[in-house]
Amino acid sequence: MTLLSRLGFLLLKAVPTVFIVVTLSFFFVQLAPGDIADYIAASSGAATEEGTSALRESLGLDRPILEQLLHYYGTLAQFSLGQSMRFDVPVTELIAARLPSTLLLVGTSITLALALGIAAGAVMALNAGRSKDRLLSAVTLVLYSIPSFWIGLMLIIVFAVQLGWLPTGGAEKIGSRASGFSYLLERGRYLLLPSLALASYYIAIYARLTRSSMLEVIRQDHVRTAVAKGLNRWQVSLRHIVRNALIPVSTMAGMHIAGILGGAVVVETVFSWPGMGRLTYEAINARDYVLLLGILLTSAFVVIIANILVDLLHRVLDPRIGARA
Amino acid sequence: MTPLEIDPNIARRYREPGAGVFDPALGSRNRWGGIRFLKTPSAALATAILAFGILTAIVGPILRPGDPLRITGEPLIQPFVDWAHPLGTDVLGRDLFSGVLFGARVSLLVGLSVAFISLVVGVLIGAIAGYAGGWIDWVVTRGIEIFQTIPGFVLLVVLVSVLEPSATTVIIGLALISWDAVARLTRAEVINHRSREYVLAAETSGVSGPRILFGEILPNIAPTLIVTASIIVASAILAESALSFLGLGDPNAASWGSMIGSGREQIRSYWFPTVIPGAFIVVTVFALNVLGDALNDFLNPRSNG
Repeated sequence: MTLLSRLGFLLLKAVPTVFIVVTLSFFFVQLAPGDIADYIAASSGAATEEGTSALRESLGLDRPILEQLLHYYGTLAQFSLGQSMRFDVPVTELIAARLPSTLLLVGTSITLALALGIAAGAVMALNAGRSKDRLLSAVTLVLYSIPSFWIGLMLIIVFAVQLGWLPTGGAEKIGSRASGFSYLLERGRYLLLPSLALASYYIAIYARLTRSSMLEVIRQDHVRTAVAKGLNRWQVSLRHIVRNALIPVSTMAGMHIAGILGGAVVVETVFSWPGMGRLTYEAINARDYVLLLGILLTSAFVVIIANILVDLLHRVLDPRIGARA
Repeated sequence: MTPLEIDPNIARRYREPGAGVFDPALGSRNRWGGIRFLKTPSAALATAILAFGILTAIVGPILRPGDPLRITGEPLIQPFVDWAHPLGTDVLGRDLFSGVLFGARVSLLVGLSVAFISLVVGVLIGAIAGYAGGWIDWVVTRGIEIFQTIPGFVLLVVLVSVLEPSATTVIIGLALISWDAVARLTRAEVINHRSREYVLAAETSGVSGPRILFGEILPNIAPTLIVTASIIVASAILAESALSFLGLGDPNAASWGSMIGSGREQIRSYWFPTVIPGAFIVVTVFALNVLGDALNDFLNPRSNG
């Protein structure tokens, strides 16, 4: 199967998933006590009964629920997620403004987690049973047990408050005029702590996964052959062991995108990072269900797209996968 | 269950070439197994910490009666200074020690209930799908896929805020985002065991489907499920703390996450209201993970990693 036809297949397969996710999310939000009209009435303070019902009518909330669902499909088909009740702008606009910084944070975290996790896992596997392995195993198990928001707060206490090396939060200096390399450096200073906090849990997962997967590969015949051929330790480790051991790791990384996006909600709140996570927090506090529904759907779309990309990447990295199917 | 009730002829055949994978689930695991398990230092330590945690959750509120959310002293007393407040007080003058004791109750209650519900639901759905196969399996697999597509924590946040935060909604929400992993694992394990000889033997002797599934296969995959349970308790405690940190926990109960959430405001000048409850989360979850690892080594000696 060529990459293009695989892409077509995956996109087609995603259609029913998207449809069901949309429908489920719609009904989840319907569970809410009271509706948007009630909320607007309550926040404006002096709303009359007639005013509220007029509002309900203008928002289409008085219609039967199936009709509302069909109407919702209709708006989605036009790539609209509706109007945010709190901010009174289209939800797509709000999300579009926040999505890039979340993707930046999530992307950096995954990269960090993979790099540090695989490195730690490789060191552990190559020294299996020795003190280096034991120490790193203990460290990863601790990292695996710390809530990401708390590790974020600890990083703030140490690196921002005590040492004063890095900023406590935000995404860039307000009114900064830095450009070029110094701009990147400045963004990096803001990005480092939140992405580390978000990555910590996954560093531990990838380290443990790489370790066990490498220990499995080490026993295989092709590794013995490579050693017998007289390749040096580094060549064997990197080209014959690590490379093969990474296949399960990359599969898992694809599955973790949903989890990391969820973790971003909390970490962004800790670091006042202006992304979707903070938007979620704002939407919760405002009881803006239209916005929440939009965020839920967008995150699900991001996960679907990311999984398709991981699937295609897999085929490029490991030609056996396409051949087998 | 007595796993040794297998036809000895079949049991003998497992050594022959081409016999496939066959585990006579054996009697070498005697009644002293539990004690042998506790002789591993890490397992003993983890069990001790958790036993202490459970004890704290039960008797803690008796030791320090009264609502942990009431104001009992001066605000921001440092820890280990005043014996009336061994761990100090927060910005409103609430005793951190009482908060931590009550928090243990919330965390363990949520963790255990979520593990229980998602294990029952996930095992049931996964086992039936794996054993029945066909269209039932197809439907369940698609269902699991959909739950894996929706970011669990975002769904949890939406559900809990929509349903109004309380202990019940937090537990229901967490179970809703945890069952799919259990179902996926159970399904894979059941499919793996379906074609093993002990199942074939039971089928030939005319044992009914449900009895094979629940009487033969499930007891054999129980070790994997027990390890999974400890992981679910750990991740449920982490997720609950994140939720209550965001202010989406039960508003009427002190929990570790909500204590961190309120301590966070003074993080620039006072570290302890944030650090102390967090340390309790880390120790508890760490003990659960160590226990999970030790159980895995003990119950599935052949797996590595």
